[in-house]
Amino acid sequence: MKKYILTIIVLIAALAGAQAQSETTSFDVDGIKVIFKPTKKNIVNVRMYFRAGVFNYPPEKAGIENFAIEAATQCGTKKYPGNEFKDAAEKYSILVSGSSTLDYGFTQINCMKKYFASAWDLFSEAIMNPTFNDAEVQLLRNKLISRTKGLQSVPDSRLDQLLMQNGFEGTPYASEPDGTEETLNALTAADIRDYYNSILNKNQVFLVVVGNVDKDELISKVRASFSAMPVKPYNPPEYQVPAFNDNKLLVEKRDISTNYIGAIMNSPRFTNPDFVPFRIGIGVFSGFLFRQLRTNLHLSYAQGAHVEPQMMPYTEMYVSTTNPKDAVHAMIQMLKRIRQFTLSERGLNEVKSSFITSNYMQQQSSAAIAASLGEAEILGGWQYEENLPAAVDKISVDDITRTLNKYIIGVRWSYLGDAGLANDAADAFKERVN
Amino acid sequence: MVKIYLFSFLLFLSAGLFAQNKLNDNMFLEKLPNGLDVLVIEDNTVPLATIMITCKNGAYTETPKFNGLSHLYEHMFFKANKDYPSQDEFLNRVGELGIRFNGSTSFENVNYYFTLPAYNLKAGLKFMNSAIRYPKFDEKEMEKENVVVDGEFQRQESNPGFALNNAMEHHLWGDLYSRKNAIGDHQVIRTATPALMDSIKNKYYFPNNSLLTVAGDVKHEDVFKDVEKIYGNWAASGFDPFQKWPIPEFKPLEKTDYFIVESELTKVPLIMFQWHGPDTRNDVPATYAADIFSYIINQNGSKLNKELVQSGLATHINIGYLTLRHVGPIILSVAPNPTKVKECLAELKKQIAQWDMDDYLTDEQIETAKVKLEVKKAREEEVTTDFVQTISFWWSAASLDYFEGYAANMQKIGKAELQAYVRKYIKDKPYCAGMLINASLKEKILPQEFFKAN
Repeated sequence: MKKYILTIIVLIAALAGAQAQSETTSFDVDGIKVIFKPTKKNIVNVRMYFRAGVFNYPPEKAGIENFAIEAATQCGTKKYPGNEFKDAAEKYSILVSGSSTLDYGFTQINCMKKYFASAWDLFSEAIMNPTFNDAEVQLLRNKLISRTKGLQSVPDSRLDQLLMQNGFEGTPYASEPDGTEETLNALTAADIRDYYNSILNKNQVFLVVVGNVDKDELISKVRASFSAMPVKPYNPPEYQVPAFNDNKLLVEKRDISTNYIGAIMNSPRFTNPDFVPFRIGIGVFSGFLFRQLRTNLHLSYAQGAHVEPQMMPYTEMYVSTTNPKDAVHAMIQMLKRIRQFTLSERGLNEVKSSFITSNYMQQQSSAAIAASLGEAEILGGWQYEENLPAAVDKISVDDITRTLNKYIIGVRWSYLGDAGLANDAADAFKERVN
Repeated sequence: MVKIYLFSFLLFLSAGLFAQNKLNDNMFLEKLPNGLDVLVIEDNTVPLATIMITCKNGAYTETPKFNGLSHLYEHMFFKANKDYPSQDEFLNRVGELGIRFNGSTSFENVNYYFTLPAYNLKAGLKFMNSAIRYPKFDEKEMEKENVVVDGEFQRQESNPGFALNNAMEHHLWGDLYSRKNAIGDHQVIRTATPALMDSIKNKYYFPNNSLLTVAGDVKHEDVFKDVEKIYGNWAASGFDPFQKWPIPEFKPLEKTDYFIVESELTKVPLIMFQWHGPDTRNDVPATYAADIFSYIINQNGSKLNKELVQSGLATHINIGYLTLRHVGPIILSVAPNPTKVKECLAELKKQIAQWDMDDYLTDEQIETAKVKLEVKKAREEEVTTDFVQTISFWWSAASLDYFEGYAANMQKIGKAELQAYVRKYIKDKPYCAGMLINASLKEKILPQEFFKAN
């Protein structure tokens, strides 16, 4: 018992320490917001975020943003035409990439500190002066089509696609940020150039820099590179978050060795005070799934649950199993149990301790830190990410129970595998949690 | 959620996977009298500690009767033991200490790790000691876990690349397939017993066949003292398992072997070539050359990339060499343009035939490859919880001396060494070539008419 009390004291100190060590700052440089976190390590990561995503284009143009931002980093620039850009990056093993997802896109560089000047040169070129060379765009199109086909072939990624289609039917989230063969083939080099120019806007971008970089040097680089970026009005979209209050099942048949089953449920928004206790509660629920489905019932190797904090947030749970009927029934039982479960104070402290480990594990690389700060800024403010340990420290057992009951209601199931076994599990898929 | 990593799919990853440099100033190594290697890596950037035990076990120790059981053993480690006599008690302790845990089984090692708040390090070391030395192998728990491990296998089978990879291992290693197949055999896994687990333990799980790595916000002097107290009485086996149960030598390929794997799980074709490469017992210099060579061929400006990817014959190419103690494979994978598969294959063969020519590689490309390896090392060191995995690999596949001398030895590699490597292991040497393709594309392009050695 004495040892246990000591653990709690040390835990609280660590949570407080995590908050106190925050060194992230943000500032404006010629109209561009810069979020800067200095680190001690040798790798620098810089990201230019574009506030856009699937709400920014129609479904028939699915993939255009990802194509455009990736093409900006792969299809030549004014200073480095064609393959010269890739060759220049390769010389110092500088990773330059661009991509887009549901709510945003970003261009990033990742390099050793001693090659930062060369990396920044490529970064600013890719953002400000991409040329979208026709031949290079065609080569990239072939790669992207191959990649989208690959994503459809891999069960986990295909299940994710089915989850979005079933949960967000009728909203932009149901379309694929990577596009499809059909939509990618229909996009011309001019289409992606025009789209890229439409989001290159000081009011729509912000910069995240993580690394052992001098702040004054950074400011002068930002000013020199991006002061000429256009300034245009930007009106963020209105997000009408669907409420998942009923059950619904989408099945896709595939002849594979096991069955992939997922479900999405409600979640509070990232900026909602309910978010942190709910996220911790889902972490506890994920532990329930592990103990029950894997350890006690040996129904699965892979199962779990987590919160996806998008602009339209959701909770996801998943399992792969050869026994869908029992696994789905067990998941519903666990949902019922977690809604009625009251975590002990000791249990709460263990959950917080586990959170410290997970949180710091994600704070080791400059890329991971930049990703979490960037996403938090998109969703409401980078400070939410910085303040997360303190927010976790404040939550109570009641907060967790209340938020789980408030948001866990309907379950939108998606299924990839043996359709006959899905049919056998029909009743389980219809089981209500409340 | 617990994920157990298997390294079978290293085959698809980047070249020179585990290239490294000398031991850094923040790394400290000692060997206990019982033979346990203890490595401490100090990194106080986050207040965490990682404890990893690596054992020289894995696929290469497995006869067909044991195929997949190193991996099952790895799962059983996270269950009941003498001090935590049920799975629930084990998991409760995990919760109390704030541990994130995982393990991996690969060709030549099995490892287990806990990451936890640094203030719980000593308790974590004791917890690891209980698990590694005193597993219970409870029969009922094993019956359940056999199904779970087989579930992991089924997930791998459900991925499109598995069929090609598995067929390649059969073609490449023949009768010794089990020695390179970490995921194992369904029937062996499903029927495994505690007696078979004990058999593995009594052969391989001794301090003189293990490495303990402690990394993170720790002080090496304190760690060595604690480790001595906790692990000092772990008795050595008194034998070298690899002398007592030698790994059989892989027979060199006798002829080039082309095969086609048809699968409806894939939407895009994939071509894979593999050769028997060097290993760290017989040809250490060639292992360095293999890494440099791979990092040249994979460059955007390489001739292979220009003729295949920039020309539009393929969307992706990658060559890699996996450093191992027992025949590391050289793996070339190509994603051909589905409308130009025949032309892609012809160009690929043409390029390989030129790989040892004087003008195929430039001095600039060789220097770029060395820079890329340097940066790769910096990236690996950035995430300490991952870096312990890298160290674990090198310790088993080569040695920590090999790891320490890597950077200096890499600098000695020039064009002559690269040409010698190609001539000894690749050019005009027998290899295995597989194509993964679905039925509709196969019917359209008829690969059986051109996917041949000549």
